[in-house]
Amino acid sequence: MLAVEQSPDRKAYLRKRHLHRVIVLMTQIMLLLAFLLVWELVANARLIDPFITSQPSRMLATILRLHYDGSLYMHVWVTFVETFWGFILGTGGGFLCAVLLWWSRSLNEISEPYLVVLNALPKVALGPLLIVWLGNGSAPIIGMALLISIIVTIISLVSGFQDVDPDKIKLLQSFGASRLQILTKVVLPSSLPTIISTLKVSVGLCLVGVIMGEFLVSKAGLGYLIVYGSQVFKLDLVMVSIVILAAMAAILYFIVSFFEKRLLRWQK
Amino acid sequence: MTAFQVELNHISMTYQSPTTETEAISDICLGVTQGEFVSIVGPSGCGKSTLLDIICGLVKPTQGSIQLQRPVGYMLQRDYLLEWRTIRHNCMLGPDLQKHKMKEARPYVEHLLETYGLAEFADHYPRQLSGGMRQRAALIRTLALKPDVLLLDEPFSALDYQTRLAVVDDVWNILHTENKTVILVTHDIAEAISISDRVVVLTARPARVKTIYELRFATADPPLQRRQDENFRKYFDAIWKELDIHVSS
Ligand SMILES: Nc1ncnc2c1ncn2[C@@H]1O[C@H](COP(=O)(O)OP(=O)(O)OP(=O)(O)O)[C@@H](O)[C@H]1O
Ligand SMILES: [Mg+2]
Repeated sequence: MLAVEQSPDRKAYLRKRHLHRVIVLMTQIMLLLAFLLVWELVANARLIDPFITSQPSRMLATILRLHYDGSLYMHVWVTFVETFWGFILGTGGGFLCAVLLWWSRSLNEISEPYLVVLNALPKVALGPLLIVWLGNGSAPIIGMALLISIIVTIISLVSGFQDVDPDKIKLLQSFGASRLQILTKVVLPSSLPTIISTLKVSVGLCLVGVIMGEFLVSKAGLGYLIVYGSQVFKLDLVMVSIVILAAMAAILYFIVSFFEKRLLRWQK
Repeated sequence: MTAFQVELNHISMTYQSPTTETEAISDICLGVTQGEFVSIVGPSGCGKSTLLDIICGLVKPTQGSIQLQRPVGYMLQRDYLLEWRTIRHNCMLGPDLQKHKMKEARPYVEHLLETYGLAEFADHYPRQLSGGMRQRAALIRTLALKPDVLLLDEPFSALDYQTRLAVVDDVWNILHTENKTVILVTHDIAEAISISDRVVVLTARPARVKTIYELRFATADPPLQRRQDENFRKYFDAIWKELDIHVSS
């Protein structure tokens, strides 16, 4: 692509597109800043009570305090590690189950009603059971993340696998492909977009599971900080934890998006 | 008994589904010798694809038996290039699935890519190629394992008329020089006559063999020249009538 060869129309189009993007980004940043500013001013003027709503300056002070005593990183790390294991076990286990259900049609039919019911069941209801069974360390929290993500993973992967064009499978069979080869050479590659979007959903769900688990039983983590903060009425701490949690969710999402771009290059 | 390379003995096929059963093929016998080019024409939905599936061994016939020389190359109705593989990688699909053929096939596929003008597109993805190029890539993929018998299921139906005439000529040349045995399913009577040694006309579903035409031209004429031959019209009218009678009855 040589810049000199661009027609005036193309240049105008590109400039307009660029301008549009800049405006969108600026507006997004301005909105956030305006929101923080209004919050700060309204709290200073005592129109709202900063004791229960907190305010940006207090949150900043809290972050700095947590940063200096190092507990910020400890809590983030705990939540991150729990989410990581929940994600690995949930998507890994879900993937294996989905492959198994694709492999055996009967198994798929047999398991269908169970999956539907498990999917509809609010997993948080199983929390107390998990605590009894798995103790009060990280295990029940990881278990909660796993439970929340695994069923959705299985259901969406299986339907993705079954959507593969049967004629592509026929093509491989005409070359004498085994079932394992059909899986690895056609079914998995053509379900890659489904696999990735499932991972994106799953990462978010794992975080939900971890925070729910930490609400129920924990000694550390962002979920613990939120519950602890609200119990001792340190709402600054609660707000800070929520903001960090949001940042963490965004980072996890972008990590998956990064892999998506690399793996789906052939779509471009 | 003649040494047929493909031999169908009283093949019948009935599909079962929860609501109904469909008789697709009824008692077809056919023998094809080494190097012969046979076209199959018939009303749409009569069971032509089913017949090729059976010959390839993808579908087991409810009755009858098949003898044939393996390996068989099967080219489906659409090109079905896998969009996440490059053209080269797509053409190597067959060898890739039968690992031990890899080493042998690689130079052959490179040679074919070169011959059919796809060498410079070998590292492109399918979506970057035109319909005619994709079709040629699909043909190379079918040839990569050096099959003795080729089954072609309307391989040119996705192409526009111009490209189609050229590709048919191409393909005929390729298959003729390599002395392949070919069974081609097509809707296009002119195409069938221009390219084959024999044309098998099937009845409407369930498919039976209605008539077999032994085509007599000065041999080794490429398809485009055959279309000028005086016999061409004669065969065309005869086959067209045969199919037409069936549509109107
Ligand atoms: N897997 C299947 N299960 C049930 N019925 C089938 C199946 N495959 C094909 N049929 C039926 O068998 C008949 C023949 O189908 P087939 O695809 O062989 O026809 P065709 O001659 O190739 O048609 P076309 O000219 O449209 O390509 C059709 O009536 C079709 O509905
Ligand atoms: Mg067909």
